[in-house]
Amino acid sequence: MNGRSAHAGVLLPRLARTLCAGLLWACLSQGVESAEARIAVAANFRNTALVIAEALQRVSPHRYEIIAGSTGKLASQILNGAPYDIFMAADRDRPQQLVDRGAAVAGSQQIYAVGELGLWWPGVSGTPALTALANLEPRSVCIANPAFAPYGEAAWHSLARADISAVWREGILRVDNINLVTGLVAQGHVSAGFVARSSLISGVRNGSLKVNESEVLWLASDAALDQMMVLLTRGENNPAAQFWLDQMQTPSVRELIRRDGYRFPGEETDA
Amino acid sequence: MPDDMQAVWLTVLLAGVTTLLLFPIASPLAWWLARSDSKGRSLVEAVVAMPLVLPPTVLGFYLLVMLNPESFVGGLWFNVTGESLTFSFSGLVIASVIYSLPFMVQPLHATFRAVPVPVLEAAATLGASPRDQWLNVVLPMAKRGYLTGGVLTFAHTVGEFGVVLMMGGNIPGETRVLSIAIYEHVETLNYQAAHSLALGLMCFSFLSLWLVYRYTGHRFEVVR
Repeated sequence: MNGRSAHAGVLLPRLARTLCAGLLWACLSQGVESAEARIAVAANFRNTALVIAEALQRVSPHRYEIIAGSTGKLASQILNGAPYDIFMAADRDRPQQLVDRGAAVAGSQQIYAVGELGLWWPGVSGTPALTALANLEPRSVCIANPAFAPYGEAAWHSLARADISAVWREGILRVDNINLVTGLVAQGHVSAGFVARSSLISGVRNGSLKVNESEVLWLASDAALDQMMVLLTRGENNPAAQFWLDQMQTPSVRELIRRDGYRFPGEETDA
Repeated sequence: MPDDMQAVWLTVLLAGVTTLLLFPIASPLAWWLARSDSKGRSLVEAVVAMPLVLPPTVLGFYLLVMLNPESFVGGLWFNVTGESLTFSFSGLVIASVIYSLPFMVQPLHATFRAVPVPVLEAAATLGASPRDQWLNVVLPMAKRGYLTGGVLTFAHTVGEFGVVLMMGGNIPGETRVLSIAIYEHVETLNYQAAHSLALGLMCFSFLSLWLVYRYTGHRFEVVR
């Protein structure tokens, strides 16, 4: 009997504290409905999106899940019923296609970042040059697959403009997405690769990459990528998705995006 | 790391549900294959064995086409549950049941074929109903087949990758199974995490196969 009352004595204040905390939370979050949203992001934006999700989860009751992949693959998944609420692409075309096919909400498109492509060629003597790539085996140069990755598509066009022969270009190594290119160059599996500026910056920041600025040729002038986001029809009535969309243009979120090497429409490149 | 534990749990759940579903699905099928003289038997055998030779992408592609919300099956499911079968756990269960079907049917088939007809006839003469014969004669004789089928199905589902990539995507807590988590770690240069998961899977695969060979192996006989 004594044991039971002693137990109850400890339990009651604990219970009261829990109830008070719950009540306080309920008062503070009054009117804010907590929800979860799945954000499908282009591979190059993955690390930035994770940081943004963490920041937004701190200031709201919402929860966010980040699903990363190449833009083309994510768009195809969405058309096949993937349960995502927002799509953050690495181009303008795919979000527009989703709107045209009724999978995304018309008018919700916005450019959330302008990304930049670079040629990363570790160990090259002097500044990397596109034309000099032709001296390498095409198999030792890596790009994201142009068929479904916008950064790969931009790389492909840059090579074509540099008058590199079609035969050489056909032999180039194509992988699933831009993050994989960064990994393969970093690990020395290939000699050079077309990477996203953001992947290098976030990789250096978290210690997973060592990049010497002189090893990279930035291609801002002819390969800037307007990255567009769109609200998907599944997320139309999801407050968490709406909150994410609203926050994307706020100074604090823009600062997180800028920190990872992105620009915004109308801004000049500093490269 | 919590994400990885979620992937481990999801994988175990998927493999467990698939194995449990395949016991009742594969048993009558394997029994029919073992006992039937029908001309269509070889046809059914070939269909059941197809996942062994088909690239997982083929299966994944057809499942994607068949189960998406625009299709008949996927649309029906969507109207009833409000959820899409593609890129969902339920869709992965359907895919895994098809993908791992031969791993359950084939050991059971071999086991059932080894059950002597005279034993069943004797049981019938003694008044055992077909249900009694199944529960008291066939099942005890076939327990090694069930063990093999169960372990192989579970292990094969744990190792599933191509099908999940095609029609499951990479949704944490829903379709992000172990193999997908490893792939993502490699893609994002997180080799340490990839090593931990990959080594865990290697040990698990070895133990599963060792269990099968240790307890069945060359002594894989139902009746001695």
